[in-house]
Amino acid sequence: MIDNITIQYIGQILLASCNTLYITICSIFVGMVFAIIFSLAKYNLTPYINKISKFIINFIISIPELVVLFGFYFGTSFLLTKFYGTYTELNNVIAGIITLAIIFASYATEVLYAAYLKINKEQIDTAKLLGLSNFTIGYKIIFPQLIKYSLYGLSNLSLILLKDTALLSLIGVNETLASAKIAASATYSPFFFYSIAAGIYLCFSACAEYFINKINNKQKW
Amino acid sequence: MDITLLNQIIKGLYLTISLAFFALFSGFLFTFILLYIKNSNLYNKYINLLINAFCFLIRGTPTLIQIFIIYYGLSELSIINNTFLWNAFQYPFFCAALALMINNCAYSYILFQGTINSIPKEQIFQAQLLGLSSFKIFIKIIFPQALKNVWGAYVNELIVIVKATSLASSITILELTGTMNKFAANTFQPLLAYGLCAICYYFINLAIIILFKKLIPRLF
Repeated sequence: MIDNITIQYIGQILLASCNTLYITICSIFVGMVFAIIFSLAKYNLTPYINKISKFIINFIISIPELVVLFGFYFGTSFLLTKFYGTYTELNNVIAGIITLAIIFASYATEVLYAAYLKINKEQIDTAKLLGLSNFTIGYKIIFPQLIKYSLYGLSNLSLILLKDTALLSLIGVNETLASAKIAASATYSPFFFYSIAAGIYLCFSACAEYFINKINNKQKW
Repeated sequence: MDITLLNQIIKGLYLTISLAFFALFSGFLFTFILLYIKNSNLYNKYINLLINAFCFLIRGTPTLIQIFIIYYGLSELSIINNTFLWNAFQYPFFCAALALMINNCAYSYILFQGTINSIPKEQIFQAQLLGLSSFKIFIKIIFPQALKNVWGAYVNELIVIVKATSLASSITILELTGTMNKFAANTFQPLLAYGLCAICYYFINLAIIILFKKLIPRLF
C-alpha cells in the first residue's frame, strides 16, 4: 500500500508544511503590529475613533474567517481591477497573511488591554517624578510588563492562527491541506492523505503547546 | 436583485441555522455523557485516557480537516460504503453536522471540566455522606454550579460553532457562505456578496449575544 508514489506525495506534503510554518510566523508578526494599532484605536480617548473602531473590530470578530478571507482577497482584486483597468490581484499568500493578521489582531486587543490594566500605575507616576521621558517609560516600564502579562493569551491565539492557516488552501495557497488534497485526488485515497495532514497539524500544535507550557510556568528547559 | 436571490438567501440561512442547531444539541448531549463518565463512579483511568486522547486529537487539528476526513475520507472505506451507514454518510449535511458535533463536544468538555474542577470538593463529600447516588450528585450539585459559571464561555463556543458552519460550504452545502460564493461568481460583485453575507452573520451573532448573555441571565 505504501509505495514509491505515496512516499513522494508525503514528501510534497512535508515541504508544503514548511510553507504553513512560514505563513504562521509572518502572520504573528504582522498581527502583533495590527494588534497594537487596533488596541490604540479601540481604547483611544477621543470619542469618535473610540466608537467607530470598537464597532469595526466587533464586526470582524463576528464574521466567519472564511467570509473575511474571501471578502478581502476577492474584494481587493475587484477594487484593484477597477482602479488600474487591467486585471490586478494581490498575491494569495500575502492576502492570506494580512487576513490572518487582522483576525489575530481583533482578538488580541482584549488580551493587550487586560495586560495593560494589570500594570501598577504608581510605577509610571514615580518614573515621571524621576524625570524619565515618555519614550523611556513606554520602552523600559510598560512594554516588558505588557509582554509578561499577555504572553498566555497571545500564545493561545497563535495556536488558533496555526489551525486557521488550513483555510488558506481554499484561496490556492500551496500549504499542507492543499497538497494533501492534490495527493488525495491523484491517488484516490483521501483518508490516508487527509489523516497525514491532520497528523502534521497535530505535531505542530503539540510541540507549540509544550514550549508554551514551559515558558508560562517557567519550568526548566 | 430579483426575488430568487432572496429565496436562495433564506434557504441558505435555514441550512446554516439547522446545521448549527444539530451540532450544538447533539454536541451538548455527548459532552454531558463524557462529563458524567468523568465525574461519577464510572470513572476509570483508561476511559479517562481515551477521553483525553480524543480531546487532544480534536483540539489539535483544524475544523476544515475534520470535515474533509469525515466527508471525503470515510466514504472511501468499505465499512461505510457498502453497509446501511451509506444511507447517512452520503449526504454532506450529515457529515458536516457530525464533524461540528465532535468539534463542539471536545471544546465544551474542556470548558465544563475546567469549571467543575473549581467547585469545592466538600459539597461532594457531604452529599456522599448523606447517601446520594452519584447520578443525583452530578445532576443536582455539580452540574448546576458548573453551568452557571461556564455560561459566558459557553456562549462564545456557541458563536464559534455558528461561524464554523461556513466551512461546510467547501463540502458543497449551499448554506449562507456557499450561496454568496455562487452569487459572487455569477455576478462578479464580490464586495456586494460577501458584504451581505457579513451583515447576515453579524446580525445572527448579535441576536445570539443579546439573547444568551443579556436576557437569559436575567431570568435565572
